[in-house]
Amino acid sequence: MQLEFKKVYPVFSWSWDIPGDDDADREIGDEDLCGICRVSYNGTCPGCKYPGDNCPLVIGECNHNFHVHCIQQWLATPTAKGLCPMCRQQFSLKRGVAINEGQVEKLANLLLQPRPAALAADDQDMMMDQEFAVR
Amino acid sequence: MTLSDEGRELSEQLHSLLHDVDSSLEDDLEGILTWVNPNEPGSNHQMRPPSLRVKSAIKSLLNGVVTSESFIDLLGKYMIFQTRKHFFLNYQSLLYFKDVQKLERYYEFPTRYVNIFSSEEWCDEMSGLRNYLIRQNSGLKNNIQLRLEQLVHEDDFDMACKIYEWLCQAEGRLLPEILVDVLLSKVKLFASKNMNSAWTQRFTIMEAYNLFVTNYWSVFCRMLQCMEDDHEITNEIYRCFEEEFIRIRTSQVFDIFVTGFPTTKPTLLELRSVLKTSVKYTELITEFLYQFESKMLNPSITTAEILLSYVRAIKSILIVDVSFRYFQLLTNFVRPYLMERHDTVATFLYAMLGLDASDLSSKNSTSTHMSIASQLSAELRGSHQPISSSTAERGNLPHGKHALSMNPYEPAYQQIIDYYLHWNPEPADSIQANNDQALISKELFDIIVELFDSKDVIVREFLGLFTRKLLGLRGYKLESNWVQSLKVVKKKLDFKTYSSAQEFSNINNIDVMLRDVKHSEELCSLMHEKLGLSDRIIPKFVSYLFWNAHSDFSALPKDHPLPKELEADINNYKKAYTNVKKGRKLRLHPEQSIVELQLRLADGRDLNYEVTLDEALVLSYLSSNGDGTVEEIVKQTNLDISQVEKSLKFWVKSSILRYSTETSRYSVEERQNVDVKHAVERQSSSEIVNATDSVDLQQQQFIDSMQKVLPFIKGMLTNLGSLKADKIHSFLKMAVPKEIGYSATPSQLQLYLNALVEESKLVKTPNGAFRLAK
Repeated sequence: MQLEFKKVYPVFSWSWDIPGDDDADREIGDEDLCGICRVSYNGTCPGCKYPGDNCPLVIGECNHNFHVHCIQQWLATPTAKGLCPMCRQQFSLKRGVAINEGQVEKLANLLLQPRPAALAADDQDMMMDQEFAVR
Repeated sequence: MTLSDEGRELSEQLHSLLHDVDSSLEDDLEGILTWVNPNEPGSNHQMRPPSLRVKSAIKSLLNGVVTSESFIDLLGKYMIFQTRKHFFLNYQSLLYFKDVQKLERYYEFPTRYVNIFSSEEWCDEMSGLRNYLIRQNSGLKNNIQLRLEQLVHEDDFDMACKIYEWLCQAEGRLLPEILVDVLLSKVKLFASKNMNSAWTQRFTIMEAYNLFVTNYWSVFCRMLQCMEDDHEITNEIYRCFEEEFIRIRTSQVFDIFVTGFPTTKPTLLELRSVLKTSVKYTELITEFLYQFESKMLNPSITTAEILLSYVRAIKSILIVDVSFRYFQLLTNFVRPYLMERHDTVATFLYAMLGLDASDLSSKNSTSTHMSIASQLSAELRGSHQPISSSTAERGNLPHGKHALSMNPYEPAYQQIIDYYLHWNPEPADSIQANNDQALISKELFDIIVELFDSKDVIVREFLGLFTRKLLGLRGYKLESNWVQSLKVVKKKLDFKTYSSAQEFSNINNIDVMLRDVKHSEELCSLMHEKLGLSDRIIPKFVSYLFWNAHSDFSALPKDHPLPKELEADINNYKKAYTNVKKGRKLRLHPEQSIVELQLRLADGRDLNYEVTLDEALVLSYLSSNGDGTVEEIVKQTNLDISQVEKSLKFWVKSSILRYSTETSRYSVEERQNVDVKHAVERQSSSEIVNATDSVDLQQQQFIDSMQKVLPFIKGMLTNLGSLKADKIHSFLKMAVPKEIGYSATPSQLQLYLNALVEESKLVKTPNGAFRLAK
C-alpha cells in the first residue's frame, strides 16, 4: 500500500525551552512555577492576559526563572537590592540562553540602579529581620 | 267512592236524564260514552273518525233531540272524568315529549266530534294536567329539557319552540332559566365548533359571536321574549364566548404553546387579550405544566425535543403573560428534569448559538434529531435580542390615570395632597403595565440561561465545544456563525459581571485561543512564504495551558516516530519556530492533529481519508512493516494502547486493515474481500464490539470519576454525620474542584451511594440518609 500525506494540520504546543530542564518524564501539571507569582512558566504573570511574547520568561544566572514582569517588579522594590528573591544572590540574566535574548536590555536598567552601600550578607539579613520585627 | 263508582254514577245520571226525554236513544248514548272513553282502548275511537252509527248518535243526541244544558254538562263532566282517570292511571309511564303529545292527541280526538267544550275550557283542563305532570314526573321533565337542548343543538328551532311553549304552559309561566341553560349550551357547542382549530385567526371570539348572533339570536329573542338589541344580554353572551374561548384554549394549551407554535401566535395574542384574572392564568399554566409533564418529561423524549418544546413554551408564555410572572414556574418545573440529562447544555448551546447541525459531534444523531436540532436553533435565533413584540403595545400605554393632572378650579396643594397621600394600592393584575419597562430588556437568552444552575456550566461547555472546533479547524478562519456565537457569549457571559476568578479565566482562555490561532496564521504564512517550508503542512501553535478544557494536552510528552518524509517537514517547522520565537520549543500532539491521507492499494483502489495523526501513524507503521500485533505497534509508534486500539478498529472497519485471529496480527488488506457476507458480518461484529466497548467505557469512566469524588463524600460524612443523597449532591457540586470534576446527576449519585452501601463503605439510615460505616 502506498500512503501519502496530502495535507497535514498538526497541532503543536509551545513551551519555554529551559536548558538543562528535560521535561521528557514530567507530567504537565507538575511543571515549574514562577518563584514570585507561582504561576506556570508557560502561563502569564498576574498582570498579563496573553502568554508567550507578551509575558516572557527570564532565566537568572542562579538558574532561578521568573516571568519577566514579576522579576522586574521585584527588582524595582527598594528591599530587592538587586537580589534574586529565591536565593538572595545578585540577580543577573544567564548569558547564552535563547530565552534571555531580548530581555537583557529591559532588565539592564533595573540591575544598574544604584544600590545602598554594600553590606555584609549577614548584616543585610539581620536588617531584614529587624524590619519584620518592627512591624 | 272509588273511581269506577264515580264513573258509573255519571253514566247512570246521563242515562236517567235521557230516559226522561227519549228512552230510545239510550243505546246511542251508550255508544257515545264508550266511543269517547279513553279508558276503553278496545272499543273507543282509537283515533279513528266515528262510525256512521256513532256519528248519527252524536248528531241526534247533541244537536237535535236533547238540548238540555244539564245533559251537556254531565256529558262534559263524564268526558273530563274519564280523561283524568286515564291520565292519573298512566302519567307515570310517560317518559318522552312525544308520549305526551300522543296522549294529548288521544284525549283531544273525541272533542273534535263531540264538540261540547269551549276552547278555553279544554285548554284549562289540559294545562292542569300538564302542570300536574311536570311537577310529579321529574324524569319526564328532565327528558323534555334534554330534548329541547338537543333540538337547539340540531338547529331544529320549530320543534324547540313547540316544546318550550308546552313547557311554559305546563309551568304556567315563562322559563328563562331553562332557555338560558339551553342558550349557554348552544354557545358552548357553537364556540367549540368554530374555535377549536382556528389557531391562526386573530379575532375568533368576535367572529364566532357575530356568526352566532346572525344565525340564532332572532330565534332566541322570540323565545326569551326580549328585544333583539338588548345589549345587556348580548354582552353577556359575548362574555360567554370569551369564557368558552379560554376554556377551549386551556384544554389545548400544549398544542397551541408547543406543537402549533409559532403559527398559533394569533390565537395566543387573542388569549392574552381575554385572560384578565390571575385565576385564569394559573389554570392555564397549571394545565400546561400537567400536559407538558405527561407529553415531554419522559425518558423516550430526546433532550433537543424537550428543549425545543421548552423554548416554544417560554415564547408562548411570554406572549400570553405580559406580567412575566409565569414563565418562572415552567423553568422551575423543567429544571430538575433537564439537569438530569448530560447533553442538555451542549444541545442548548448548539441551538442557542446557531451552530450548524454539522457541528454536532454526537455520533448517534439521526436525521430526526438533526431536524429537531435545527428547529430548535431556528427558535432560538435572535433570542439575544430584547423581547419587544409581546410588550411593545403595553409598554407604550400612557399611564394617564396615574399622572398628576392639575385641575385649575381646585387649590394646587389640595390636588397634590390628594394625589400623593390618598394613594391606593393597585390591584395585582394591573401592576404588569408598570413592570413592562423594566422587563422589556429581559431577553430570552437570559431566561433560558436561568434554566441552568450557573452560567459557569454554560461557559465550561462552550469552552469545550470551542476548543474542539478550533483544534479541528482546517485553516485559520472561523465560520461566521461561530464568530457570531462568540460575540453573543462574550456579551452575555461578560466577565465583568463575574465575581469568581475562575469564571473570568475561562473567558480569558477564549481570547488566548483566538490569539493563538491568529498567530499561527501569521507564522504559517511567514514559514510558507519567507522560509519556503512545505505548504502541505498548516500548523497550529497553541498555548497548551489555555487549551486545557479537555485536558487533552496533559498526557506525558512523548516522541512519536513519524514517517520519514513527514518527520523532516515537522522538524523543519519546529526549527523554524524556535528561530522565530527565541527560547521556545514545540511539541507535536498527534491525537489533535489532522491529516488528509491518500491510500493506493494493490487492487487499484484509491482512497482518501481525513483522520487524526495517530490513526495515520498506526496505518503508516503497518504499511511499511507489513503486519504487527497491538503490542508491537504501541512500542514502535510510542502511542497509548487505547489510541492504537481505537485506530486499528477504525481501519479494520474501513476495510483497510485485516485482523487475523490465529496470529493476533493486523495487516493491510491490499485486495478487497469479495465475500460481502463476510464483510458485513465483520462490520456488524465490530459494531457490536464498539457498542459494548463504549458502554463499558462509559461505565468505567463514571466509576473512575466517582472514585475521585469519594474522598469528598467521606470528608463531608465525617464532619456532618449523616446526609441525604440530594444534600451530598449539592455539596459535591459546590466543593469538588473543576480539575477533578463532578458531573454525576442526582440519580447517578444515588446509585453510586447505594453501591457503596453494598460494599459496606457506607450505611443507609432508615430515613434514607447515608453515613460512614463504623
